[in-house]
Amino acid sequence: MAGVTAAAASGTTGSIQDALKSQAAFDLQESLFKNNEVLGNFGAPVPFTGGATINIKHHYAGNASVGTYSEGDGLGSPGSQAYLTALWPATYYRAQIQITGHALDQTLNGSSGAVFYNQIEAEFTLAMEDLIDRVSTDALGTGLTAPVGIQGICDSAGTLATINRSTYSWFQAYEVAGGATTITVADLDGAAQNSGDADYGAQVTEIWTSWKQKNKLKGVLGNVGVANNSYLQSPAGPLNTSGITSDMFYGNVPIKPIRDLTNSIFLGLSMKEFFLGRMREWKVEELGKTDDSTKYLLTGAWGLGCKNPKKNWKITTLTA
Amino acid sequence: MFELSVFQESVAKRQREAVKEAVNKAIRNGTFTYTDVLMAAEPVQTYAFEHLDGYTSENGSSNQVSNALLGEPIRLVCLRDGDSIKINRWGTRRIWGTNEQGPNEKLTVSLGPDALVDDKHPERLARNVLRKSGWPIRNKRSRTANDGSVVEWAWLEREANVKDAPPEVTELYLAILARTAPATAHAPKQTKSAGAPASAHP
Repeated sequence: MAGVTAAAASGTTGSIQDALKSQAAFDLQESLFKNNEVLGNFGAPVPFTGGATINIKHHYAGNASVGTYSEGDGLGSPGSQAYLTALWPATYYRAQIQITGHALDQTLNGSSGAVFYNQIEAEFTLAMEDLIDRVSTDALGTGLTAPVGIQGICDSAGTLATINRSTYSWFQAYEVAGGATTITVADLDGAAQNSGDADYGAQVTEIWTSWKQKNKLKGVLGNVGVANNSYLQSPAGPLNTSGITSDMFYGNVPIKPIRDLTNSIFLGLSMKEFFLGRMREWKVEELGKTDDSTKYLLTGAWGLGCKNPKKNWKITTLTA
Repeated sequence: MFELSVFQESVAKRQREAVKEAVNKAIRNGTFTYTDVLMAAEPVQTYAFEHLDGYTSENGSSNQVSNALLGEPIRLVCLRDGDSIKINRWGTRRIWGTNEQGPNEKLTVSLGPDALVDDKHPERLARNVLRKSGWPIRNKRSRTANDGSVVEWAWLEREANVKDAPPEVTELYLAILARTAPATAHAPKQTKSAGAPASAHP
């Protein structure tokens, strides 16, 4: 084909290739999933107040002299309360960045005249997102020591915040295996009953599970169009098939699907008991020059804690 | 196991000593049971477990100060025929179709209806089973709202043989004895799944 063509025909004059600018839309499209949905659930971070831990004082025994008496009874022995301190740790997180002088020059220091997105700036903002993803997934994990995870907190065994829960049983969350490998409402009822009553006294405000388990629970309740499903479509308003993206509640407690949470569990959480300790706010520091490069260090120190692990429950081993 | 005076001791330091003495005496006499400890009111229960596990909290936080006592397997039995003692352990499952292991999670292990269960650090299986579903521990701790389903055999055997034993205690003892008769006299019956003591360090 002769003339001016779009194809890069070798040896043919008139191709538009030499004249075309390299094309791409400005800005960067994020295609890597990073979890930033967890930490906000624990409220404003609580600053550490000196020392390596946030210390929570627990009152675990009352005055044994409390009782009734009749006229003329002699005095009994006085009693007293009993206390113990839980020590919640933080974990230090870091990321390193190094930028060469050549990279700065050739990107015109991130100028939009030279680049489709500011790669220099992106290295910092994206590394921060990577760090938050790491803190978030650690917070969802099973850790008993730093980094402490919510599955480790909502457990009945192991030493947490220096308190051995087998010795100090008032630090145990209520933990139970599901009746079968698929969640049932009876499993939720059982956990709510046992943890809600004495001596756990849980006041669960949120239930966390994975997206798959939310799907399983919806399947247990019944799907629209399936015979004998156990919930009703509201007759008013437009028809709605309902899906797992719809809000779901156990009683008045929202069931929240949490990305990156282990698939086999349901957690009943008394959210006001949890806190995110902040030992060090995120900060970026320029380190010394290395040849023609500049190194940067991003750091922060955070720790998940729970003022009263006993007020939470966990249903485990839901493998289906 | 604990005399009334132990609960009425007004000075914490002396109460700790009284608890230690009571626990040591029960161990010496062979009458110690976890059920007695778990039925005791706080802080006696905590002081007893601190002594058993070698901890102290006298300075306000928990510190290991000596080696743990006991830990040997004890016999736990389900109250109802057909039930099974279930425990949860951290572990991983193989990702289906690969040789890789999935994330750490709690896995259920069934020990059968009648098992020797140890109480070793860090899992302390025996006491944790009793804490969560022991009878009559759960009944007492929940103020009768919930029922336990597993009993510590040594406690049941002792309680069923006291002069004024509640009738249900004697009935349960005899029922379990009949159920597990062939091997109960001196060697507790082992179920297939509980052939070896459930150990924290298998």
